[in-house]
Amino acid sequence: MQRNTGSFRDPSGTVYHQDDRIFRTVNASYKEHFEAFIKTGLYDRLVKAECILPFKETDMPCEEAWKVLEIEKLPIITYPYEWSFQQLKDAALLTLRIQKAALEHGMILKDASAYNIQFYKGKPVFIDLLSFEKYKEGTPWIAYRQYISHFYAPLLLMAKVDLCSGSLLRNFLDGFPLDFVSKSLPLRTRLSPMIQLHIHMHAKMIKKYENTKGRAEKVEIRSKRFSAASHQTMAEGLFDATASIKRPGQTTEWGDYYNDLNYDDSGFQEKKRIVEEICIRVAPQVACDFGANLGEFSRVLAKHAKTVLAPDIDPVAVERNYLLTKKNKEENIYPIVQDLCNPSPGIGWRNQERDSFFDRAKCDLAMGLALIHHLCIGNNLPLDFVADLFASVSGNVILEFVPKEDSQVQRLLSAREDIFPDYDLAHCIEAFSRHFQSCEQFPISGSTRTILFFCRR
Amino acid sequence: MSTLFAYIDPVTGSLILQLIAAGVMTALVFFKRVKAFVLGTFGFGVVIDNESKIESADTSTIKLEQPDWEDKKVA
Repeated sequence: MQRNTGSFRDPSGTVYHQDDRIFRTVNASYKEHFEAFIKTGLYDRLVKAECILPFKETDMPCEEAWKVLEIEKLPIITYPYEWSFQQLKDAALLTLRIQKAALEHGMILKDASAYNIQFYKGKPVFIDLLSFEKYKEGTPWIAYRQYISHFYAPLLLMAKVDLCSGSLLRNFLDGFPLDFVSKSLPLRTRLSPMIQLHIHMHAKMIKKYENTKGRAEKVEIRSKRFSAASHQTMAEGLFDATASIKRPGQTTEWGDYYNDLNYDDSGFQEKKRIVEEICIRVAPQVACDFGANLGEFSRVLAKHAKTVLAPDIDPVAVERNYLLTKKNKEENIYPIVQDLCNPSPGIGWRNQERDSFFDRAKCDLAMGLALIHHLCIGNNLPLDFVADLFASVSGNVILEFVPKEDSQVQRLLSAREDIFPDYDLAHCIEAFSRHFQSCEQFPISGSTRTILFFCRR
Repeated sequence: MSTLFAYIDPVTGSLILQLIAAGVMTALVFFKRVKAFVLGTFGFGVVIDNESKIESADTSTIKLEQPDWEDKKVA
């Protein structure tokens, strides 16, 4: 078994991989809490409500562990800095629901980390089976600050400052520092009682008592008593405060993309037909629709692929795609905020605690529709570089080539000098043919664009 | 940002705030319940808030915030 490089903070157990399976050890020190988690009925209740990943016990030998559990391997792991506003909000509300349920069963969440949530079958799901402890009467909720830093503060920054703020979480593994959030939020937020309390006053209190001197006073503070009922009302109050954060009604240049296309309707339908035919032939387990926008073509892939990753640079497009998956109850489409020109790197300890996007996004079919001109002309990337990227993620690639004559390319070129003499269909095919043996071309009628299908055979 | 420094104690301040927040939240929830009771008594219907229950975690049932997005023709 190979130890998960991100699993070292929790003394209760560790996550391991073996082949394509995921195991979680439970240490003897956590036995009492784990037994209570099962016996109080909390585990069954959470599994029944599809809020937590179920486990099965194994007889896998492990000297240090009291138990070894196997959990289902998720199709893709995503991180909070890759989620849209509503994804983070749904994850936050799930965390509070679980805290409320835990308290009703005499237990409490000891972590409220956003990394304990993953998306699975279109919904957030809690993945850390070792986050529950028996509630000891009088003790505080130690994960309160973590909830605020991982969920409440990022949601506020996204709603009140800019939707792109979520991607800053890359820099803060344990959530946003509250003094940073307090300084960044607009002044008017000081008039909101909940934001004033959980962010501004909270930041001040942390600052006031951050000095490690004054031990006697601190011991007295720490002896204050809390009740389970007060934690219930706290969870309820935080739930209302989080649920009331609304996404700003801003739009971006990508917002109306499908209404601003270079096809007549028949061209659009033809493109869908070509993509679907190729997808049926490849029959992928995992397909990735790079630059997915609202996921119109991800939905075509989703009819034939088990899992479809739908990364896009625009948090508004990802938000809308996610809302569509919720509305349509689509279980195999995963919208992800991702900038292909600056993808999520490996972060944390030795850059291995959280994997890079391309370490997680291996697929059987990669697709880039109306993307190549943004990479090559918008970002000066040579065609070879683009071919290298696609070849590194998949053996089958659907690519839409958008030539210079296309009005969208003309828009890009209108603001800059044309320094791309090699940007044409022939050079594109040449670049990709270095990696792929087979190339099929499908010109789209009523447009200057061509769909290319490259296959490694 | 103070958290960048090694020898600080971020716990105590957060704990005090939690004490204050617990008091504020208790008062708010109390008023919420009084409001629901009064509305119920005068025939405006009792407001039942089950959204924070674990059994309602199927978030697809929650009303979307911006329904205009859904109505917009995307193709």
